[in-house]
Amino acid sequence: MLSALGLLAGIFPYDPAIDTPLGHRNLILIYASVWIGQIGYAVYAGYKWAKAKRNSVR
Amino acid sequence: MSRTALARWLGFAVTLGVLGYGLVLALRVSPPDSQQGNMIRSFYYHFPNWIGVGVFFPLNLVASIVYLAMRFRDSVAAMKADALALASAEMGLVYCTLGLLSGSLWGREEWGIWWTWDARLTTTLLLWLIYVAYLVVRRMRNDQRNASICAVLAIFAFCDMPIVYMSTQWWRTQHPAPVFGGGPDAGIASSMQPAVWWNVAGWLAWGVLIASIRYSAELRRQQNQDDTATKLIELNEYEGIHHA
Repeated sequence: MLSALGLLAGIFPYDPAIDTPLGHRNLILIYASVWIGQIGYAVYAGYKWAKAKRNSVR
Repeated sequence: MSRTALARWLGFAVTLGVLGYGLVLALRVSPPDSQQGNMIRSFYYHFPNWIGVGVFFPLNLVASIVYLAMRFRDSVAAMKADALALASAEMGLVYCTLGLLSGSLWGREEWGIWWTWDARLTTTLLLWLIYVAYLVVRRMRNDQRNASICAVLAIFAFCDMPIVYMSTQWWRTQHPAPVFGGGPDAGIASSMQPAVWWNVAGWLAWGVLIASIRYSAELRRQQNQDDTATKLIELNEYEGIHHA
């Protein structure tokens, strides 16, 4: 998890003159949590859809 | 492939394109803020969540009212409204959860605290808890009586929405006033606008797409349940005739 966040760190702009390390980490966490949360729910919705389709075929 | 599936895949591709462009605008094109530095980029992923809440919870209210109005008149329309109520409540709750989480991470940097019990944050947490309760009650039983109870609960749940929005004006809060309609100093800088609106459009399109899948799943589940009940009734009647 931490190494994945480390890989993301390079994508997010960071200027030590105006940013703090905590702010940089939290910025990455905000973007990562939104993507993970939305994709997670999308997978759940897809699973429910596939399950309902399977049950209706029977 | 059906037309609906094709439209969904097309919508999915367009949505990913918009989200990708929004991400580039948010992280590469938009300038850092004079006060918050690069942390201002949090706004591009915090704000769309609240737009999502502002769309899907009212949709849940409308669907619940339609369900209550139609349940004894048109069973198909009522079933569709109930499925929409569930899909919109779940989608709204996802946005609300992510909004609270991103707000907490942003607040830790800007305010020095993860959380504060001010009116805005507290009423928002209450909103989240009420919709969690709504979804828990929905899962308890799958019958018409429970659907009616949930529809009434949805109307009460929505009462917190205007309080959340007005909380920064009614009380003194740590949280700033709304970006839109929050007074003379409200609004966003022109350099930030493309990143804001592309991300709002992208995440809203994503929400509509996923909620439509969830709606289809719930509608099909209810139709399956209805078909099974009809078959059982027919079987009972058939066996009753033969025993007599």
